[in-house]
Amino acid sequence: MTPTSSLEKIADATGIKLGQASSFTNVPTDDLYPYWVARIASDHAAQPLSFYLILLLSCVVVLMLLYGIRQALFSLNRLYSTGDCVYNSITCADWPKLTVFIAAHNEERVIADCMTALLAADYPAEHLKIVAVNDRSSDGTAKIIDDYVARHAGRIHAFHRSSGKAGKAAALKDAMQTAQGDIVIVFDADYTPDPDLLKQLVAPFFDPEVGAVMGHVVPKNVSANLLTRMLDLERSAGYQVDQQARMNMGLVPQYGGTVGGVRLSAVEAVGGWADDVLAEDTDITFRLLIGGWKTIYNNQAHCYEEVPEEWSVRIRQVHRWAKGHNQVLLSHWVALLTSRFVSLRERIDGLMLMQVFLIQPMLLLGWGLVVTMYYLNSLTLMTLFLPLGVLLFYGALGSFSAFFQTALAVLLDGHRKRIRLLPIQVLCFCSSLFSISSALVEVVFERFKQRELVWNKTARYRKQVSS
Amino acid sequence: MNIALFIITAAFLLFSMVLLLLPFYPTWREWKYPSDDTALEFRQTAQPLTKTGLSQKMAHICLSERTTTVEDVAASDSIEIAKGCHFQRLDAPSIYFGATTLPAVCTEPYAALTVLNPGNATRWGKNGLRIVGDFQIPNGTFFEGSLIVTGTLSVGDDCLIQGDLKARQGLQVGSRTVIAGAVFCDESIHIKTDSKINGPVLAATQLRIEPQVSIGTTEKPTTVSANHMLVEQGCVIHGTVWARDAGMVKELTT
Repeated sequence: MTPTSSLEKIADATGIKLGQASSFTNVPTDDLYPYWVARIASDHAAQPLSFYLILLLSCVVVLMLLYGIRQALFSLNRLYSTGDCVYNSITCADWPKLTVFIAAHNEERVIADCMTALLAADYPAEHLKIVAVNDRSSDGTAKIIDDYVARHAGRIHAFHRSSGKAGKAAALKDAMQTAQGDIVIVFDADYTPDPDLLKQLVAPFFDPEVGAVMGHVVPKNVSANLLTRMLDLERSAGYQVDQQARMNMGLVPQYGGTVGGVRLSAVEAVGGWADDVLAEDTDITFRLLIGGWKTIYNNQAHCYEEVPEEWSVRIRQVHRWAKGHNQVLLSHWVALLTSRFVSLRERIDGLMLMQVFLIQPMLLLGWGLVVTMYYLNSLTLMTLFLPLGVLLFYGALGSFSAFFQTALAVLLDGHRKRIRLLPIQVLCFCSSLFSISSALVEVVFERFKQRELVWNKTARYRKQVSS
Repeated sequence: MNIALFIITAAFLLFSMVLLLLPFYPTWREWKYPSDDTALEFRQTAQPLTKTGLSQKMAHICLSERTTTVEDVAASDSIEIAKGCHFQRLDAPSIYFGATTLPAVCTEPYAALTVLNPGNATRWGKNGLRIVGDFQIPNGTFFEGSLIVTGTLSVGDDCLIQGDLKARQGLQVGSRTVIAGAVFCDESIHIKTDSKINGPVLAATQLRIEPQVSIGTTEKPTTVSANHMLVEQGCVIHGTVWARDAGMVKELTT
C-alpha cells in the first residue's frame, strides 16, 4: 500500500506498521503524532539541554538550507541568462574627470606594471589623473613611483604616506582628498588593467543612481600550483556566477575594493570613506545600499590579479576578509533592515550577503552539536525530524550547490577541463572553515575589547622587480 | 565471526571506497599533468567601431531606403540612413536619420522658466533629488542637478534640465526640451519632437525618438542605446547608436 498522509510516510520510513502498535514506540500508529508531541514535551522536561541543542541544530540546518537554495538560484539564473551589462553600450561619451588610485604598500615587484598599464589606458588624458598611493613602503616602491612621476609628469602623481592609521582603507581615505572629479577607480598594485577597462568601469556612473562599480577579477598566476588553480575556480564561481546572478536578479552585487570605483559624492552622502574597517569595500557597498545607491557589476570589465601561492597567505587573506565582513555585519545589519531605500529582495539578499562568513562557523557549530547530542543520548528526538530536512533538502541543494556553482562558472568561462579539479576544492573549503571561524571569534572579542585593527598585507609572487 | 559476512562487508567497504575516490582520479591527473592551467583569456565584447577595417576608411556612408544593414557601420565623418532602414550599430560624428533639419529648441527665454521644487523629494548626492513613485515635470520648468524617479517620469515641453535624469519604470521627454546630461531608464524612453539631449541615452527595453531630435554634439559625441529603437525621420545623433536587438528608421507620418 502506498503511504498517503505525512504521518503514514513517517511511519513507513521508520518501519512502523500501520493499524497496529509500533514495534519502535509501542504506540498505535493512529496516535503517533500526539505521541511524538508528548514525547518531545516529556524529553524537554527530562533533558532541557538536549531539547535546546536540537532547536539550535534545527536553526543551523535551516540557515544552511537557505544559503543552499540561494546558491542554487544563482546557478540557475546564470544557466538561463546572459552576463551582459547594459552600460557597456556606452562606448562614446563626454567622459567625466576620473582619478585612478593605485594602493601600494611594499609593492616594488608589481607596481610598475600597473602604472604602465594605466598609462596605456584608452581614456582622455586630460580627464585622467593617476595617483600612486604609497602607504609607508619600506622597499623600493617609493623610488619606482617617483621615477614614473618624473618620466610622465602631469599624468602620474605620487601620494607618499609615512604616518597615520595603517591599512589600505586609511591610505585611500587620505589620498581621496587629492581626487579630481566625482569618480574614483581603485586598483591594487598587482593588477594589470586592459586599455578598455577604465571606460567600462566609468560608463555605469553616467547613471545618476549608481554609487559604485565592480569589475571581473581573473587570476593571472593560475599555473603556479594547485592552490592557485583552486583559487582560479573559486574566483570563477564568485564573479561569473555569484556576482553576475546578483546583478541579473536585482540583488546586491558587491564592490570589491579593487577593479572598481565609487562616486565620491555618493560616498560623502552616506558618511564618507571609513578608515577604521578591515573590509572598506564591503563597508561602502552596504552603506551605499542602505543609502539607496546602486552597485553595478560589469562582467565584461576584466582585470588580471595575482592570487596567493602559499596556503599560509591564503588563510590570512580569508581571515582578514571574514573579519572585515563580520565587522560590517555587526555595524550595519539594523540599518539594512530599516532602510527605506532598500527593496525587499535587496534586504533579504543583503542580509544573507552580510552573514556569508557566518556559514563556516555555523557548520562547525552544527557538527559540534551533533557530536554533543550523541553523547547526551538525545538522538531519539532527532531520529525522525532533522534527518528528513537534512537529507532531503540540504543534501540536494545545500552542500552540492557551491560545487555546482563552480562547475557552472567553469562552463561559462569556456574552460571545462578545469572541472576535473572540482573534488579537491574541499581542501580550500576546509582551510577556510577554521580561519573564518576564528575570525568571527576575534571580531566579537575585539568589539568588546575595542582593540585597534591590524592590517595584513597579501604577499606578491612576481619574480622580478619591474621598472 | 562469520567469514562470509566478513568478506561481504570488506567487499562492500572496498567498493564504496573506490566509488568515493573515483572522482579524484581525474583531479589527480589534472593536477600532475595540467591540460588547462593558463589564465583565462577574454574576447572584448564591445570593440570601438573605428577599429573595423572597412568602415574606418569611409568618410561618408549613405544607406538608401529599406536597407537592412550589417551589424556595424562606422564612418569618420557622417552616416545618412534613410527611412525604412534597419540598423543595429552605427558610429560616426554625425548620424542623420532621413532628411534632417535643426531642432527648434525652446523658444522661450530660460529666465522665464519655473524652477522645479517638488515637495516629496529626498536630497540625492551632491545636488540631486530622488522621488518615490511617478512624477511629472510641468511645461517650462528649469531644474539643475540629477533627478531620480522610482516610477515613471514625464518631462513637460520647453523644459531645461541641467543634469541627469533616471526613471525606473518609463521616461518621456517633452517637445523642445533641453537636457544637458544623461537620460536613463530601466524600461522604455520616448523623446518627443525638437528636443535636445547632450549626454548618453540608455533605455533597457525600447527607445522611441520623434522627428527633429538632436542627441550629442559634434564636439562631444555620445551614445544612444536600447534593445529596440524606433527613430523617426529628421533626427540627428552624434556618436554611437546601438540598437542591441534591432533599430528602424520610421517614415514621417503626416
